[in-house]
This record gives sequence, C-alpha cells and structure tokens, in this order.
Amino acid sequence: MAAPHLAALGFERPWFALALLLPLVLLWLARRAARPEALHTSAFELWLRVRLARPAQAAHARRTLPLSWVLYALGLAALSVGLMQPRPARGDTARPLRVVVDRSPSMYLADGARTRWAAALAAFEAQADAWPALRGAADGVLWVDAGADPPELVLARWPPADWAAAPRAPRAALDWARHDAAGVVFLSDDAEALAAAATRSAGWVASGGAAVPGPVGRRGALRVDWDGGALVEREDAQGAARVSIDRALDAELARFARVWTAARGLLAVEDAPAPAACELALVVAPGAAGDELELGREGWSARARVLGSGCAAAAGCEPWLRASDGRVLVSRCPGRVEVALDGLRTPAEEAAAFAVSWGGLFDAALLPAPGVVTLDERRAARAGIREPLAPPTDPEIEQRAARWRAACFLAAAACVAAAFALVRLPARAARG
Amino acid sequence: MAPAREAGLELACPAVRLAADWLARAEACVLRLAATSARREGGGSSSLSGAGGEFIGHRPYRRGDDPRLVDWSVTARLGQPWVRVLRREARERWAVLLDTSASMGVGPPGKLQRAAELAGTLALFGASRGAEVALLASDGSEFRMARRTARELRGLRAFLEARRAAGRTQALDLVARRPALRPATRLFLISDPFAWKPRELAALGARARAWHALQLLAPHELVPPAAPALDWRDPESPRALELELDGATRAAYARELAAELARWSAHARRHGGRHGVWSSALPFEAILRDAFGA
Repeated sequence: MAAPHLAALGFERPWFALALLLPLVLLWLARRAARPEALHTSAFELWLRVRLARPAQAAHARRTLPLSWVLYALGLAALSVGLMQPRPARGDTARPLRVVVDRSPSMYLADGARTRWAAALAAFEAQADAWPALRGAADGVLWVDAGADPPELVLARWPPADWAAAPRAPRAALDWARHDAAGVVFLSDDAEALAAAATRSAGWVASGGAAVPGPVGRRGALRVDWDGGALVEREDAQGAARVSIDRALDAELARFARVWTAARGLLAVEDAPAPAACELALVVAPGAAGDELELGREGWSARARVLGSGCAAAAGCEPWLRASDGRVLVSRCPGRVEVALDGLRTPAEEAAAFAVSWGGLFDAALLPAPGVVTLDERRAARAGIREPLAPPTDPEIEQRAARWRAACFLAAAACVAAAFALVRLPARAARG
Repeated sequence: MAPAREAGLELACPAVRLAADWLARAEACVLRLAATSARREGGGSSSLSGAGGEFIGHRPYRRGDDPRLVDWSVTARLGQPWVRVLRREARERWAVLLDTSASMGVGPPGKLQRAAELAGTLALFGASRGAEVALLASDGSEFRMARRTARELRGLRAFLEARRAAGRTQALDLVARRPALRPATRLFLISDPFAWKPRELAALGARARAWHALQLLAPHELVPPAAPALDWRDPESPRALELELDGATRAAYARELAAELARWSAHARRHGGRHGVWSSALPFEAILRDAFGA
C-alpha cells in the first residue's frame, strides 16, 4: 500500500476531528499528574544553591510523561482519526458518473412525439445537477449499455446518437442489482421494476409512459396487434419475415433450414442481395473443406468436414458448436448464423434431436420483425426518481481507504493494549 | 535562576492550637527546668541558672518555685509557704522572640505550633523564677507576664493561639522597634535557621547576659521525602523550584544544611550564645529537655 500523502487525504466524517481534543486533554491531565508534589520549605535558598550546583540535573528534573499515558493518548488519537474515516481526497478518487441505460424495446415506444428514451434522458439531465451526492463526480458520464453483449461503455457528455434507436437484436432482461454501486444511476422507463430490484446505492430515473398499443407478434404473413385491450390478427403489408440461406450452405443443413422456415411461416430466400436486412441470415464461413471430424451436441452426433479454420470471431457473436481442438464450427449472432461445416452426415436415429437442436439455434438467432414489441413492454410504466447515495468512486481507492481505517483502529487497539499491559504487568509482578 | 511563578499553595500549618492539657504539661516541664536549674545552680553550669544573688525580701510560694528557697521560719510564722527573693532574680528580664513569619507555617507538624508551645513554656518558667518576661512575636505583637496569675495564664494562651504564620521575617526591624529588648538579661529566639542571620541575633542579644536560639525544622526540611521529584515552594515569596531528588541531590542538600547549621553553632560559640536545631515532630518537652537538660 502506498504511503498516504497528507495533502491528498480527505475525511468522510471530518467533524470527528473534535475527538482529537480528547488525547490532548489526556496529555494535559497526564502532565498535571506527572507534576511532582508541591511542598513549602523554609530552606528554599538551600535548594536554589543545590540546583545551581547541579544545573545539568535540574534541566531534566520534571515532567516526564508516563509511557502508558502517552500510549493511551496515541490510541485515542488513532481512534479519532479512524472515526473521521480517512480516504484519499475526493479529487483523486472522483470517477465519472456511471449511467446504466435500459435499451429494451419499451424505451423506444413513442408516447406522443417523444420516446421513453428521450423522456428519461431529459429527466436525467434536469435532475442530475441537483443531486448533492453527485457533486464529487468527475466531469463526463460513463454510459453503459448493460444489455449489450458484451456491455458497451461510452464516456461522453451524452450517450451515442445511435442509442436513440432501438437495437435490432433482442435484449436480455437487465439485472439491475449487478450494477448497484455508489455513483451509479439507472436510466429506464419503469420505476416499479427498478424498485423491485431492491438496489441500495444506485439512483434511478424512470421516464414512465402511457401504454402504447401496436404489434406484439407475427405469424407468417399475419401480424398480431394489441389495441390496448385485445389482441387482433391482421395481414401484414410487409409480408412474412425473410430467412437468407447461403447457397454454399451444406445441403443437409440447407434442407433443414427450409423445413424450419416453412414451419415458422417465414420466407426462405437464397442468396439475398442484402442478407443483413433479413430477420435471419444463414451464412457459410470462407475457406476450403478440410479435415473431417466427429461432432455433436444435445443428443445428436455427426461427421463433417471443417471449412477453413472455422468461424471468425465477431463482436456480439457466440460459439454454438466447437471442435475438440477449439475451432468454432457454428457461431450465432442476432439475425445471423455462421456455419463452417460441409458434408454433414447425421445418423437417421438422431434426426429428431438434430432438428430440435438446430431449430432452437435458428429460433434464438431470428430477429423480431421491425415494430414488434412484446405486450409486457407496451403496457404503461410508472415514472420515478431516486437519488444515488454517494458520488462514484474507484473501488480500489475505496479498498485503500478501508485499509487505512482498519489500520487506524488496529493502531488504537494496539496502543491501548500496550498501555494496559504497561500498567498491569508491573502491578502483577509486584503482587507476585 | 529558578523559574518564578505564583505559589498558589496554602501553608500546611499556619495556626496555633494549644491542646487542653498544654498548660499542665508546660507546668510540669517548668518544674523539671526549675529542678535542673536548682541542681546546677551551685555548679553554675546550667544554661538557665544565674550566679546566685543578695537576699532582698520574701514573697508567697508559687508553684514551680525551688523548694530550697522556702523560708521555713517565715512559713511557720505565717502558716503558708513563703520563699526568699534574691537580687539576681529580681533583676531578671527575659525576652522570648517568637518568629511568626510564613516559613514557620511549614509542616506538618507545624513549626509555629511547636514554637508557640516552647515560647509559652519558657515564659512560664521565667515568670516562675520571678523574672519579667516579654513574649515578642515577629508580627509586632507582644505579651508580658511576671506573676503567673490565672489572668496572665489565660492571656498567655490567647496570645499564643492568636498567632498566624504569615509575612516575611524582618529581624532588624524588630530590633529597632523593640526597646523592650534592650534591658533583657536573657534572650530566647524561637524560629527556623533561615529566617535570621547569626549576626542579627548576636546584635540583638549583645546586651543580654545570655541568648539562646531554639531553631525548628519540619521533618521534610531535615530529610527530603522519598519522592523522585518535588516542587519546592518558598513560603515567603511566589518562587517555586522543581527538582529531581536523586541521591546526589539529596547529598548536596544535606551538605548545604549541615554547613548552614555549623555557621550558626560557630557564631553562637563566638558570641556567647547557645544554639540548637530540632524537628518540629518532637514534643516541646523533649526539645526543652535537650536544650536545657530539663
């Protein structure tokens, strides 16, 4: 631990500095107690002569404080400093405010002209400067899209402009408690959900919003709308969602993809000019067919040749099937499945397991149709605001401050124990 | 120089409280002094005995009178004891100087208390020998007695109990202010050794046939207490001095005190006086026995 520099030292509870008077009073009392007994003597002149004859002796004739009293005073001083809660000065520890944003589809529902996202941002801007707890925060805001995989962090005065639009990929529900810390503010639309998270330190701004009727699902060419009370199926002018199937895709897999597409009421498109515009794109990894290997998961097994070196790592994608040597054979991203297999052969008795497994993969990767938001997200949300408890700090600095406090209390205990031993041990020895 | 500051410490024993039996004890002591004096009168070696004297008359017997002075013929004729009065006794004028300066309030036991007991006993003894006794306190007050009447005895007790240890000793002022001292044939000074200089007492007692210095010290002035350090205070000034009392310091003090007392003794021998130092812890009877062999 680096030695604390005094100028860089601050105190959480500086009013406990008054307790530092206690050791001073103790030392003053000790000094009084150490004063020798006063006695009148008519031989005062004789004592003066004695002192003049022994000046060196007289110089240190008085006021040696007992070590035990000094230790008690030191212990009290250390205790007082510990109670003041020393910590690195705020300037050293200040961190930018951390705003964890909710980018679920409900945040982008428009209640009139303004989305809940915009309303939440405006409420945050109006509120943040008024929170005393945030005055120690450094300039800037660390915006955190905790729903992204991996979470996206941006240090700026305002969140990136593209965050103002709903992300194409569906988001997992946020675990607010995971982000609960000093100097954190949650930005969402539903105060009830935030309150239910029972966080302790983080504050929040919830925009709230009225219910927004609209599409809540899609089945083939039909769209399911919520009109505020009931669900109504309507023909969708956009038609069914499209699945782009790479022409180079393994024949076995391509055949299964078409079956799955038909079962879901989707439209299979081979070599779509813009696969990214489709709700799902099944693409083949580049590279020539290489070694053949045994693979499988979820109850099915197969033999296939690996294309090139497998799937390339991409942001937001996760491996779905790996070779024993670690190569990624199949990866999944929102709206995209990349396959690095060719010549796939599956035993007939494992066909069912194969279909369930790959069907689940396609379902998970399939993007929702534009404008479709679940019914729960379309319901009305309650607005609310809660102030964070403290400005943001560096956890490492916090740990250091905690160590300082512990050191103070430890020093206090050691001093008192040593003083106690100094007083008690000679007395015990004398009794013995 | 020593650090000077306000003393702020009350004197331990500033007052005189004579015990109820003090007069009885003093009278008993007077009897012993008289007996001693009479025993030695022939030899002339007692410090309190005179050189004998011419017969000048009779007076009624008083308690403490030497039985050998009883004139048995007159006693038989008159039916009550009468004693012979000698010229020496008729001429005796005793002066008992009682130091009541603040330094006499040091104790316990208080030096002024013991000094008052001594002064009163000496006054009683002088009166018992027919001398005119002047009890002079350094605070300027005085008391005279010659006949030891009940009134005089009450006055003596009241005078002694009214004394308070206070102020500084002004020995030379006392000499100048007290013509009563000039005719004194016997002079007693009861004080501590540091209030007076030997030459001051010698000047005071120059006209007297004899002078005695009975000097008192509190026990802690004779031997410093067994404390590692002490804050010494001057009772007559605001001076204070804190000193560590190690062995060397104690030895140095003992040497200084011995030298001071030796100066007194030498001076007394040179000028025909007698000098002695006692602890205030001793009863006054013991001090008088030691001083006068009573």
